[in-house]
Amino acid sequence: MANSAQNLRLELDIGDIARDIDSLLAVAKPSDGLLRVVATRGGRRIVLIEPLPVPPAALTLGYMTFAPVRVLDRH
Amino acid sequence: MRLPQRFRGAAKDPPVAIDDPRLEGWENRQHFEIRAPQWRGATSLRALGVDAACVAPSHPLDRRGRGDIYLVVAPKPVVPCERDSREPSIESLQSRASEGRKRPPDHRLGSDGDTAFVDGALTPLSDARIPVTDEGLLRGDGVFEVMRLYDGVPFARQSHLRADGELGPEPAPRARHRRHRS
Repeated sequence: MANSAQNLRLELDIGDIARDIDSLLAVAKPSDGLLRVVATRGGRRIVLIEPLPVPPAALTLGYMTFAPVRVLDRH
Repeated sequence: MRLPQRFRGAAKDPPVAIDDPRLEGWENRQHFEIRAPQWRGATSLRALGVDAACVAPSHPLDRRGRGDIYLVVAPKPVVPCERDSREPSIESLQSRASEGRKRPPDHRLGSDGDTAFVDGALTPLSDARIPVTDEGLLRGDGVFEVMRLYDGVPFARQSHLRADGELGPEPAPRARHRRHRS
């Protein structure tokens, strides 16, 4: 997340994010789920706990060529 | 008198590598028949810190520097996931996954009784709001990360946040989690 923010030139204090996560987990005491962390250009920090998505009855796998955008590999 | 750079002519292009064993395994990114634009691409990538080179794997170039030329970049190193000793093993995750397919999902999470953190303040989830003037909302500009929670512990938290030592040690797990894993 910090790397993505650096690539977007988005000022992000990852320490604040970590403290938010700790505080939310200490209060919510979740079991299994998803932890969503959002930081916006406007300076908002949002931490949410979401339910797990319902898995489908069957999965289909396929091949694809991994082609990352190498320009963003600097950080 | 020394001429300005623009009158001295372009600098000679670096050679295109032909059958260079050091470039084996590099990823082919682009193919050109003319040399100059391709070399500019490699130079631009190098300026950004990406190892890039020009290769002509099949035939040497003609006297005008043309031929089958490929722009290649070094393969991205595989960075192992930072594992936390408190995280469950792969076997236990596979077992959980098989159990999860049998039981319904826990819909208590994310309900109105839950809480959210917005700008460092604990807020009931139903009351959590951000203004419509937020730059992230208006321009879709921001970053997000989603982590899997196992017994309230985010999986691969350091790797997701990529704090590079800013976070310090992970907090100790809650007592009920220690009991669960023992």
